[in-house]
Amino acid sequence: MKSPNNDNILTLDNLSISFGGIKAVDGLSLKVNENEIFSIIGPNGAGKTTVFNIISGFYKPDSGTVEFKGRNLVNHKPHEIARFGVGRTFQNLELFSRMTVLENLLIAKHLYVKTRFWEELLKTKNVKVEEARAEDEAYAILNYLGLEQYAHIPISEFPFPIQKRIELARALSLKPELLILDEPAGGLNMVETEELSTIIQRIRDDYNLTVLLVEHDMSMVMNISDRITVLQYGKEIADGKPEEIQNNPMVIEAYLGKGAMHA
Amino acid sequence: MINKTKNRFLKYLPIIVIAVYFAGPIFIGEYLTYLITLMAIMAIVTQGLNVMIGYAGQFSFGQPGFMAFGAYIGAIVVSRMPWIPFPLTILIVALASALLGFIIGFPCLRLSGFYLAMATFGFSSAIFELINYLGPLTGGNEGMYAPAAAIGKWKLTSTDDVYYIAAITVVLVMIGVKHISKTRTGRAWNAIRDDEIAASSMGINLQREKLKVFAFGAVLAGVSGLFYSYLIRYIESSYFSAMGLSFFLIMVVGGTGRVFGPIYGSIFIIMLPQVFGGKFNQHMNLVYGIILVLFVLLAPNGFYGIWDKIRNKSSVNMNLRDKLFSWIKRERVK
Ligand SMILES: Nc1ncnc2c1ncn2[C@@H]1O[C@H](COP(=O)(O)OP(=O)(O)OP(=O)(O)O)[C@@H](O)[C@H]1O
Ligand SMILES: [Mg+2]
Repeated sequence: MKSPNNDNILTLDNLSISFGGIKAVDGLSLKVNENEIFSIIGPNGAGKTTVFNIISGFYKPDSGTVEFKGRNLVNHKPHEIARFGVGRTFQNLELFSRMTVLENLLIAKHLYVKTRFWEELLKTKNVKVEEARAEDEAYAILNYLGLEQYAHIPISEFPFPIQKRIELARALSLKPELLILDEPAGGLNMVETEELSTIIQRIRDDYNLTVLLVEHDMSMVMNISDRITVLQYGKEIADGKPEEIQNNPMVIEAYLGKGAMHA
Repeated sequence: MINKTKNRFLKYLPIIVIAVYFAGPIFIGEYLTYLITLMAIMAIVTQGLNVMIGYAGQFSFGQPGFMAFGAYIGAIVVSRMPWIPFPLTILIVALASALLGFIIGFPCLRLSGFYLAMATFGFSSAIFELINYLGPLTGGNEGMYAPAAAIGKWKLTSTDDVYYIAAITVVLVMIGVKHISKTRTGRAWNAIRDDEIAASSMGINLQREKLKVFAFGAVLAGVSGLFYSYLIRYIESSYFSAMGLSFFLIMVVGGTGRVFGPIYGSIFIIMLPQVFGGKFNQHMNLVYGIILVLFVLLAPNGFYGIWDKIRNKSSVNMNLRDKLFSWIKRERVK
């Protein structure tokens, strides 16, 4: 395994957003180093998904900045942020469920298929070459994640855990430098979760990217994270290495409720 | 064996239809040629609607407006500059329609579904008003003569001439759309139809793709409007405003989102009154309305959907299920 170096790839600075009086994210700052697996954890409604939605451009923060590779992402649209190199998955899946697995991955090749509209109308040689290349690349990722035999089956025919993995494959097809995963182990059983932990670490190393993870499965988070930030009511209440977080009384209290410490 | 033959037949049916299209005028009389030309013209404009709605999920009631725009632009330009050869007229109309598509598309970008439909309906109405208002240019309510297609001294005034222009175009349009549907832009349009959030996080610029599909639909409507003016040679805005429902009917009956749907749909819609004739024509809109409702309720995917159901009985889909099932079993063992 590569050891994370200390260059920041993503810096959140004093990020805040509120929805009708509720402060979903409240003055959050954090730095994610290149090549590390960084986790954000916290109870339901803590604001984790909201942070992801701000980073990927779906929400505009009330204040604060999101700096990715030295560029402020605030005010950029989601498709631009994807182009800058941020790929994501969604807590509740956003797959194109009527389409096949391969079609889903090919859509993620939008930025890499270099063809013009009129060339596509005529299906010129360039179109054939580019399409074939995109398909090869998509198959390479399907192979990598053991999904190649499902390439031509529509998404809706798969059970949830496989759909999760397909969404991961699709995000990877974007060739992101920062991969943000919102509860990738949601709905997975223990064996599948362990398998996923290995996959995420492998992806980080093989594709040389940085992973920002939101996950409720604590064994997974503690196993694979280089560093962790804990959110509660949109505020950071702790950050550090997994063992520091595990023993932090604030965190235990946030998760188990007041009084847990004394019990 | 029989299934295989049937599948092969279904696969080649579009080509057979196209061949019949071309051989048409040799065997049939002028009236039937006229009807088939009308089918081709309807299939072109409906293909635009089909791409907008079936491929990209952008509801548009603007097609009659764009069609009228194409017809009038062609007639106005060519009546002033009769020396323009008709391929150039087609190009001019296509470019003007694309430009108008962008202009109309822009304020519509933030709208979707019902609101988009209403806004584009408003656009169509505005076009008709404008045509009536610009009397000196368009003849206003009276309508105007549309010059025939011409190259140099060679005037293409007969129905057969228009037939060939429209038939060649409809084939090219079908091939182009087939290509688009399998490549980058078609996939992006499908993506914004199904899930804008996912599409944009895949790097797809929603606004750009919506503008593109708006312009594409506008071009097909404008060009088919021009051909319509070649066919009937006298245009009034009311001809176009009366067509709005037909395009939807053709699209739905043929099969929304299917490349050859508009062809089958327009054959059906144009032959129906011919077959029944007489009384039927007096109540045509009523019958069309009922057909639309029946299709939406019973066969929402049109003729293509019905075929798919027939084809489901063949081995193709069973294979998929078997594959899936065997995989689930395997996963459980692990
Ligand atoms: N678009 C929105 N409109 C209104 N409120 C929102 C919106 N998005 C998030 N919120 C609110 O912000 C808070 C944080 O929600 P968020 O989804 O970020 O939590 P989370 O940490 O991801 O929780 P979970 O673990 O349950 O996924 C919640 O109170 C939620 O209701
Ligand atoms: Mg969440």
